[in-house]
Amino acid sequence: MLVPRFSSNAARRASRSAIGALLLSAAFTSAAPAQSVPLASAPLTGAARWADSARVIIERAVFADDSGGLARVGQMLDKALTAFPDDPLLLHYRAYGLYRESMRADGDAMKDERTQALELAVRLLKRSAASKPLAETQALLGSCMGSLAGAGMIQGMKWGSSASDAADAARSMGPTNPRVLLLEGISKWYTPAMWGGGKDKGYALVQRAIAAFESDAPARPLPAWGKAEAYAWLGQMEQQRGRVAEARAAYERALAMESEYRWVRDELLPKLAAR
Amino acid sequence: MTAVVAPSLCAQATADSSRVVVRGVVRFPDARPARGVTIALLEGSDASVTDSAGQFALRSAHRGIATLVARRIGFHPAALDVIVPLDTLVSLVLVPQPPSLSTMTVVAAGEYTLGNGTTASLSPLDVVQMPGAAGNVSRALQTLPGSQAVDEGSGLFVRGGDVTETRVLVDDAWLLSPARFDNPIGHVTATVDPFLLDRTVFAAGGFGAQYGNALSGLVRLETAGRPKKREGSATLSIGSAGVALAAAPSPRLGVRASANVNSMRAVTSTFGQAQPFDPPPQGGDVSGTIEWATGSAGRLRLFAVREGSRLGVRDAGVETGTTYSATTAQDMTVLSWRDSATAWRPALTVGQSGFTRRETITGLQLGTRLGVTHLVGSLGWQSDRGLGIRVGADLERLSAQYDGALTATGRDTTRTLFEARSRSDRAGAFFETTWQDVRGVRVIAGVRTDRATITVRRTVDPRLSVAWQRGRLGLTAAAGVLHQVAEPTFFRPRDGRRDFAPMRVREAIVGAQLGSDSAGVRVELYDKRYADLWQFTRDFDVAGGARGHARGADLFVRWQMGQRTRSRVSWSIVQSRRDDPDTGIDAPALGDVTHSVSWITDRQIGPLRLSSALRYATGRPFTDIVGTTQSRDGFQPIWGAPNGDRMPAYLRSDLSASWYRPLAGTSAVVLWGSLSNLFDRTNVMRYRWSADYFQRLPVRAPFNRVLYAGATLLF
Repeated sequence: MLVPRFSSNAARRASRSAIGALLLSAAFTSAAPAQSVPLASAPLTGAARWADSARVIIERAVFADDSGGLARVGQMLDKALTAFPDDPLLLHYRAYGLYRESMRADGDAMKDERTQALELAVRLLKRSAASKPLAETQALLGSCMGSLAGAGMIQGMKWGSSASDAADAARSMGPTNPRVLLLEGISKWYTPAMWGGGKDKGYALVQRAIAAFESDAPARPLPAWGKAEAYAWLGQMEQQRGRVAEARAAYERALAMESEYRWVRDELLPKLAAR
Repeated sequence: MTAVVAPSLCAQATADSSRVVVRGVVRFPDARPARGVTIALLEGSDASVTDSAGQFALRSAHRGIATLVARRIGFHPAALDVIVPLDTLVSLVLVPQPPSLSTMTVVAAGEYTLGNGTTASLSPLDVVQMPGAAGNVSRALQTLPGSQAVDEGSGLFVRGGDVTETRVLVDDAWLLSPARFDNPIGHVTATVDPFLLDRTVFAAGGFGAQYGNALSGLVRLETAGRPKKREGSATLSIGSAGVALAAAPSPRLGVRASANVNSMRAVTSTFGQAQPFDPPPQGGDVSGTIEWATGSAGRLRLFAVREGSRLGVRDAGVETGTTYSATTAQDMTVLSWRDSATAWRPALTVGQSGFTRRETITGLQLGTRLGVTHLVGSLGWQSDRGLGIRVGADLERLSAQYDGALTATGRDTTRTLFEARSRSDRAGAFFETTWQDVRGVRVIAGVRTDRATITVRRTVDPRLSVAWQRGRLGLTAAAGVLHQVAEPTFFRPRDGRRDFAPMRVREAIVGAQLGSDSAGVRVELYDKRYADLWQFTRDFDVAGGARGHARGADLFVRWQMGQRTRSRVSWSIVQSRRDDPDTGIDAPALGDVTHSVSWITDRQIGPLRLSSALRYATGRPFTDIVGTTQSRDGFQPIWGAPNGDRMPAYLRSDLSASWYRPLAGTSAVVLWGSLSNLFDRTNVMRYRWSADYFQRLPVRAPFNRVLYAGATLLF
């Protein structure tokens, strides 16, 4: 899935607190969001300001493998939703944070928490999509439902078809959206060819996603995640194809964008070096 | 929400120089001051409340940009970005939210649902995964409160009523479930394959005025709707095979088709048989659905199913040596239209259901051929203030043909005993209004009237249902009159008299529920008084005008242990008495099963789902033979007090397991199995007697310990 699982040691090394990042971002001073996130000069107000802060903090927490940061941004968004209860982007980012948290909830003991987080994310994404249809919202909906579907028979029957519908909707709404292409590419990579997937298809889609990221400039506070992540996935695909140099180049490209990208820095690159 | 920043008063420093005061006023849209409004900065925990003039003073140590928010129940939050310290007086306007009705999660009195979610009902998966239900909707419904466990058949005896008093509707059209002259392996309530259904709702009483001609129970089957894409399944198991396909040729058109065959022969030859089947039960069905989306919230659906079955049982009657066999064919076609795109919600259904059965009871041949055409139409209107109205009518034409013949022992000659044909038309109309207010009260009041040509009289049924909800607590009550026209087989006019009054019950229900879908308790008490009941005598004659009385309590407890384990207990207590059709004296009814308890538990362990079911019931009443007389025709039994004795208590435990493995996308394979009657308990279903009636011999219920397994491929 999109979020790698790190050791708790790595998580403890997370540096910047979510609240600190929020204040920086909110004051429009030196909030240095992810390099892939374009900054617009016009200050945002109201719900959009909170949504923009959330997207920056979530990305920082993801790159830093900071579980505490994800929890804090969830609390922050819950608070913002008391003032803007139906804001589609706040709902979207609350669900996005839950999705990222759920991916970190590893192991059998965390399964209940993971399911709860994903089910809540699905409810929030549906509310968000009802008032502001976004390709990313549908793609996330498909990923959340797909994760739930893999939890057992009942969940498979309950969520499987809906997950597929949401993925179809995402593809229809954003055929060139890099985040939709990235999620689809990862899905195809892990899907056997006889079921419509395949390594080649997955690889091609991730390459298309990377190409699409070059011209990707969503206005704040719309979703802008995924560019560095796409290179991390490309590196893994290249590695599996036996192209070590290309894999290393992809990882280094990801780190050039996000120097604190711990999944790449502490896990993927060392594994490649050990080959 | 409206918010402005007025360039006037300055923020004032407080005694604590690190804290500043943000001042302002909150008003309603008509400029009245808003008192009791909570004011807070989202950046931190500072908060204040407006006074009677709508003014507030919020102290905060925060500096810089912040979001100020005003909140009060019943109003949209008002939010404003400010920079603290603030040299302005903030003015906020609270705009009322439109009155929104709280979601009523209290289920109507008498109605029971299963599954997850506030609108959940009995889903196909609930049915097929329920241990001991054998994939039968009716047998799954038997684990809900209000159903008495009379035997191991699929018959639904509801709150002391008879199995013939439960009506099954498919998309609102009547699915025939006729009375049987004999029930050697249990009573039957007809349903359809659960995978043809979207959901099932079971009502043990308190029906709305929309539903007529049902005395005790109502099963509403809603057929599966239009698929959104191509999908299918194939199932192979011990003794059955089936395939189901669905496709969406266009965004507005969807089709489904399925076919199944089954035979108990493989099971009985492997695990033995509790009763001497000859042949073991076997059958099959084909079905199809075509649905066209007529609009954003409208659809036209054609559903058709045809089923056939066959079975035979030796030692099937009271006397040793009685044999029984039956061949049954049933079909149904339903065309329905619904549209809920606007406040006006029309619904129209036309259904045709046919039923043909040939029975042989040791030389006695009985034929039943029934056909019903049912037209149901209604128009509803729903306001956004909680008021709803529905008015409608239904027309029903039931044709019935019965014949009986006797084949002399050792001869080929057959003597016709009777032939009867009849037709009964019933016309009904109803008006129902629903009102729900923001305080959590819902009232449903209605009245329906019916007239059937076979009864030659009009009935009027007033009905009322009330529910109140506050948080997790709900209280319900219902009262009303229900009528049902007895099946034409009971209609045997003598001497030109046509005294065939419709059966009637007056019922009252009160209940309480606490909790949610996944964990909670629900209790209902009911009292039912029957009149004009029609019943078979021991010799298949009919007796009318009987009276009866049923009262009892139903308890439903659901709880959850973590996310993986769910459990529920249904406990139905009933005392039901009716005039005995043979003697006319007041006696326990067949459904007088004092206690019926089901305990179902599901546990999910990764891809594996385990379910267990434990069922207990007081033995059902029966009439014993207390002596014999001898005549030229041989021994004749002397019957004891009507239903004066009881069978031994019924106890059965079942296990089932299913293992789900996703293959890719939505494809998956499910391996499943069940172990029925885990401890191979010998439950007595009925008694037969030796030829001289001196020896009473128990007949075992049809399910001994059986392992059943199969696989389903979903694609």
